[in-house]
Formats: sequence, C-alpha cells, structure tokens
Amino acid sequence: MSGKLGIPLSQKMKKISKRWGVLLFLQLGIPFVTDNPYYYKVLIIFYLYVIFAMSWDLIGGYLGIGSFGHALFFGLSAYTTAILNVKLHWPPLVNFPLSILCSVIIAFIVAKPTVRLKGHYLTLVTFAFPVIVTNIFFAFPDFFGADIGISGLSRLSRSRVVDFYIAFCATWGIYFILRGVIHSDTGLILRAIQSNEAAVISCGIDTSRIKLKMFILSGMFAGVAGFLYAHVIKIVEPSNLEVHMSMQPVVICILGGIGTLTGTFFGAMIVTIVNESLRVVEQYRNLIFYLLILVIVLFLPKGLKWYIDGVFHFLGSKLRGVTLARK
Amino acid sequence: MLFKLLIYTFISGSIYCVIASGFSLVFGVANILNLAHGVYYMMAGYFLYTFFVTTQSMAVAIPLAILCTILFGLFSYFVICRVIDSPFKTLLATFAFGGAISEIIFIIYGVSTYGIPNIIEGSFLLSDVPVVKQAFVAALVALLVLAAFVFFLNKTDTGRAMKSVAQNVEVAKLTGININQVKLVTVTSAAFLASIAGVFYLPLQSLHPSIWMNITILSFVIVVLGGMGSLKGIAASYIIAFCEHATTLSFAEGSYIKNGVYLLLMIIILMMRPQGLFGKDLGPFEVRT
Amino acid sequence: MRENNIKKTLLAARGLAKHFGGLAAIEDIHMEVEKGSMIGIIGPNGSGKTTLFNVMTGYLKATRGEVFYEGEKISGMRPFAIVNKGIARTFQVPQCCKQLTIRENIHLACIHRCPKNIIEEKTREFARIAKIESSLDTLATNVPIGYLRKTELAMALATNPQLILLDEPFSGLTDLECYELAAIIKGVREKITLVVIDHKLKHLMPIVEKVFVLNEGRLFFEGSPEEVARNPEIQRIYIGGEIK
Repeated sequence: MSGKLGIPLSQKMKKISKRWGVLLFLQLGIPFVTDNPYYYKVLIIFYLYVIFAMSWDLIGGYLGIGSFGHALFFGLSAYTTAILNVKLHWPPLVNFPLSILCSVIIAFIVAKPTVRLKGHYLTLVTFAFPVIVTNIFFAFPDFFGADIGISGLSRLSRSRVVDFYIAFCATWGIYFILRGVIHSDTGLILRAIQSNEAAVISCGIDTSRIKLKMFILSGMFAGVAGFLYAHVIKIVEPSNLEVHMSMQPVVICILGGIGTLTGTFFGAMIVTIVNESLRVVEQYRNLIFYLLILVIVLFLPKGLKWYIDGVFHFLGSKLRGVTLARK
Repeated sequence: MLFKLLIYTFISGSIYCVIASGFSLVFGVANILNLAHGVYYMMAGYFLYTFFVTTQSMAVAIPLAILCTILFGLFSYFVICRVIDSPFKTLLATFAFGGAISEIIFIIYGVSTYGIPNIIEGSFLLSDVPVVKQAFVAALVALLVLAAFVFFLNKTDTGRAMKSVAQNVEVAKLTGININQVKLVTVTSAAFLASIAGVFYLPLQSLHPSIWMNITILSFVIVVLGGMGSLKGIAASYIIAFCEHATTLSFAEGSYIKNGVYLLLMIIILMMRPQGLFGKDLGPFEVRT
Repeated sequence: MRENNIKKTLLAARGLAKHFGGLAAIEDIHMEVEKGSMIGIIGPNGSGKTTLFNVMTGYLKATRGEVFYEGEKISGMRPFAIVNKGIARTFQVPQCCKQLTIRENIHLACIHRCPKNIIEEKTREFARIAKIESSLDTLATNVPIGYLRKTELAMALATNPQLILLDEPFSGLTDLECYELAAIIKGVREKITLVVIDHKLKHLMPIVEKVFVLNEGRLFFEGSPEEVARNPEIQRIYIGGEIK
C-alpha cells in the first residue's frame, strides 16, 4: 500500500462519492424494490456481518493483531440487550448504549493483557476469553438460559423498512468512520506498528496505548453488530460467543482481502449467500464452511476478491488493447 | 479429600502430559500451532470404537486404532504442509481442518455420545479412594510411552534431528537434515502420542465430535505454562489437571467452569510474564513497550 | 558570567549494571555525557556496548544503578517516554517500517511533534539533511542498508532530540557511504549531542572528542581519541596482542 498522505479531505470525499455514490444509491433504493421479509432479514444480516468484519479488520488487518475471539464482543452485546429486553422489557433504543458499553468494557479487559503479548500467546489469550465468559454463562444457567439461551427479543423498530435503514446507516456510518481513521495519521501508525513496532516506539509513540484504543474501538463496533444480530434473529445463544462465530469475520476478511475495508462487503456477500443457500442442507452447512476456509487459505492466499479483481483487470486491459501493470 | 484430588491429578495429568508433548513437539520443531491437535485424540477414540464394534476384540482394535491415527496424522500433515511457513495461515488451516473433520464425524456418527467399553474392568481401593483400574493403567502406559519417546528423542538419529531442527533450523539444514521429512515425522509422532492417550483414556470419557477443541486448548495452555519439552512442561500438565479436579470437586457448577479457571490462571501468568513462564528473557525488541 | 564555559551534564549513568541470569553484561558503569559533546564508545564484541544503550533508553531494565537525563531520573521509564524526553537512538540493524515508504517512515516520527500543515515540509527537510530526498517514495523494503541507516537517522532527527545515541551506524556500509554518513553526523552536531558506538575506528575517531572503552561489561578507559590510539592495553583487548 503506498502512502495516501497529503491529499486534502475535500478531494478524498470527491473520490469516495464517485466510486461509492452509485453503490450507496443502489442500496438506498432496495426497500422500493422488494417487500419480502426474508430478503430484508438476509440483507440486515449481511450488513451486520460487514460491521463485524470491519471491526475485526481494524485490528486484524491494519494493526496485525489476529483476534480469534472477536465473537466475545459481538455475543456479549447481544446477551446484554437480550437480558434487558426480555427480562426487564426495556426497548432496544435504551439497550443500545448499554450493550455497547458492555462490549467496550470487555474489550478493555481483553486488551490489557493482549497488547503486551506477541504472536501465538496473543492468539491464545483472544481465544481464551470467550471460553471463560461462556463458562460463566453456564455456571448461572437460570439467568443466562444455558444451552438454549434467551429468546423472544423484540424487533429493532416497528417496521421492516426502518430496520433496514438502521442497519444500512450503521454500516455506512461505521465504514466512513473507519475509513477516516485508516487514512489519518492514526492509520499510518497502525500500519507502521504491524510492520515494525520497535521503529514506532523509536518515534516516541506509545504503541500500547494506541493498541488499547483500537481494540476498544474494534470491540465497540463488534458490539454494534451483535446488538443488531440479537434484534434480527430475536434469539441469543452461547454459540454467539463461541469460536465458530469468531471465525466469521476472519473468513469474511480473508475472502475479501485482509486490510481492505471495502473487501468486507464482498466477503460478507459470499458468506451470507453461502450461509443462506446452504440452509437446505443444514447438516452440511458447517462442514462446507470449514472446507471453504481450508480451500481459501491453502489455495487463494490473497483473498478471493484479489483474484476476481485480477480477472476484471485482465479483461479490462484486453478490451483496451494494453497490458496494464497490476498494483 | 486431598488424597482423592492427588490421585485424580496424577491420572489426568499423566494423560495430559502425553497429549501436550505431541503438541509442544510440533510447535518446537515445525513452529506451528496445530489447532487440530485434539482431533488425533478424538479420532483414536472413534477408530477404537469402530474397530471394536466390527472385530469385538480389543487386542485387534487397539493397535489398529493407533495405526489409523498415525496414518491420519500423516494425512493431516499433507493437508497443511502448503502453508506451514505462515503462522497465521496455519492457525486458520489447522482450525478449519479440525472443524471439517469434526463435522464429518458428526455426520457419520451422529450427535450422541459414545461409550467405549473398558479394556480392563473393575476398580481397586487406594487408601479408601476407589480408583478405576483402566484409568490407572492409562496413566502408567502414558508415562511409559512418554519415557520411551524421550529416549527416542535423545538416542536415535531421527529424534536428534528433530531436536536440532527445533533449536536452529538453519544449522540443521547445513548438516544435511531434510527439514520437511523431520516435520512430517514430528506431526506423525504427535498423532501417535495423542492416540496412546485416546485409546486408553477415552473409554473412561465421553466420546463426542466436539471434544477436540477442548483438548487443543488444554495442550496449548500446558505448553504456554510449561514451555517446550522440559521437565517443567510435565509439571504444568499436573498443575492444569489439579486445577480441573479442584474446581470440579469444590463447586457444584465445577464441571462447567473448570476450563475457565485454568484459562484465567494462564492469562494472569501471561500478564505477569508476557514471554510465558519459560520463555527467554526479553531482548530489546521483545517488549518493554 | 561566562555561561558558555559551564559544561552541562546531559546524560549520566551511575553504577549501572545489567545481569542476564548469571552473566553480567554491564557492570558498575559510571559515565557522563556533556551537552554539546561528541562521544564515541568502543570495545570488543560482547563488551556490553549495545546493552548499555538498551538500558539507557529503557528497552532493558537495569539490575542496578540509575540513569539521569538533565538531572532527572529516567531509569525505569518506558522507551517511548524516554524518546519524548529528548533522547533518540538508532539500532545495529536499522529499525524502519519496511512496509512503508521512506516518506511515511519520517512522517511517522513527525506526528505529534509538528502541526499538521507543516509535516510534509518537515519530512522533506529531514530527508534532505539525511540525504535521502531522492528515495522518499520508495518502499523501505526495496532500499539498501545505507539508505535505511539514513532513514533511521532522519527519523531520529524528526523526534526533535537533544541527544542521539547511534549504535554501529557505520556497520554494513561501504567506505564511501561511511564518509557520507560521518559528514551528515558532523552536520547535525551543532544542536545535538551525540554518542556513537562503532568498530570502524577509521571513521569514528576523526569525529569524536572523547572515547569510552568498554571491556567485558566494564569501563576500561576514557580519554581522547589520541590517548586511545596510543594505548597498548586497548590494542590488546581488541586483538589479543600489541601492534608493534
């Protein structure tokens, strides 16, 4: 990735709106095209997976901290809103800040030991925290609903269309926030830390503090995704915190290319399509999921999107009669 | 009560020892975290069950199960070897591999828990504490096999090749050691060690397609706490076993939280010593950040 | 009052020691660096030079003793905080972010120190001082070691230090590159105090005023470059015998 510094914000905004204006516009119009409640559900799930994956990519792709327990922030937020909604009958709007707060707090707790660790130990700690928390859930089965979890959550709002726009705005809002972070000096620091943390320290930058802040930001956004999930699926279960859910953002990012924010849209699209189309063979769903990961990791190291981009690039250059160099 | 705890700790700890050494070996020699490590243990159980059901003879089923697990280990190496040089990719690949195998087992064997009959029936009393004979034998066999393996590591050429690759890959290459071959033998040995544990201990436990993750986490924690292939590593296995049993015996919900307890312990230790209990002392680039 | 004659102690080590298990990498080091001076540190391999730097800059925790900077105790502070106090350092293996361009590397060092609108300018200025202006937009991974050293120096300068510790800056460079680097170092010394470790005495001695010699973790000798050159003991610790 070459530097994108020194481009004034106004120019950047123009670039963004040109490329994404079309896509944004198209997506805005979806409620006018369809009425099918199933499609709405799938779309909202797609959006929240995008948010979840972007939150992972912030620390996994840019900072280089591969979190294998991101579902903790996701699931804890979901459980918080579930408990408040089902047991106390509080509306989703009120639960939202509290759920996010829970995610932020747990992100802080996880980040504290994590930022000082490297490599395998770091992975293990991110792996361990969700297990500890699910253990606690199982220790109080009456409160947390044990294996069955908590069901009967209310919807986000009274209308499907409003639900859709909430998810839509959340996704694009978070996207632009993260894009702003990535293209700022902070983003440079993140990429630098991934490249050589000692060099960053030599510049007088407190890397531990930045890692902590980013972890919390990441956890917060994962919490947003978890909150949306809870009110769309209307059930929360222990599996929402477990390793299978933690792998979802990882798979989405490796499909779309780790370290590219826009790749998450592509990856989430594939994962959602695969998940939904495999509902007919419910038995084999997980197996195909794992085999997909295996195939991608073993044979497509740069993420599916890179290869598909490559195909388009090739076609495009052939149409123009030139061979262009690939970035 | 304490004596009971110690007996259980001895038995479980010995089993964990032999499982974790395989994991630790692969980590040390090939520098990969094989998240699918627990699968070898689990597969040994399913192989044993299947062969016993078809042959009705433990004398035939046990060696067959061990052999099949070794071959399975070989197979797993060939699946992973493409990405063996990238830590992140190996994590994903081994995890996906483990998950896929687990799902296949789910599909073939269903969701119910299986019971394998004990090889040796009955129990005896050790100072008022009932000890299942099978469990005791399992622990002894585990320790014997481990001792034999240590002998293999130190006295045979293959074993010493493994040790040298673990210490310094470049130097090992210079002495003409075929690194890929060594990695292959290592992964297969790890599968073998896990199979010994599985074959003797799984009859006492529940056999379920989801047990692999637990075993992998267990091995991981033991290696973090105990370091690589040293006597301290053996101590860590018993410490973890002690934690597990102490938790189970002390609390009503003990069996639900026993994982969490030793994981929490590990996190606390890592917070105090980020390089692990037995890692090297920190150099300038290894964090006093 | 002839204030310009009063020498101020910038950096002081008192009784500094660092043990790794049974091995004493450095022992009983007493050292003072005066503001505005150019100091050299030499000694055979394993004599503790880099360990000394690591302890002084907070990468390692001292087993015994203290480090003072401008009278303030800095031993025990974290490395990034020591950089922000005004001490920059370079490493034996130049530490740059390989995945970033040279420009981004220097920019990194300028963050938080300059207002946003002049960072571009400042980056170019430091690149000019370190003579790497031509390679600003090359990825650091594609650049030879001489350029990496100059980048690291530019980054160090960008942190606005009063003191720079250079660890074997001439290592790995051709003779010509060494002369160039020596000239750059001499160029910055007006405003910055420098302490340089190196083995290439041919390039080090002409630029320093005072030399500390380390041997087996202890301070063996301190004096001017001429005194060091004349001293047969020093020849002996390096090569095991005298040069007749």
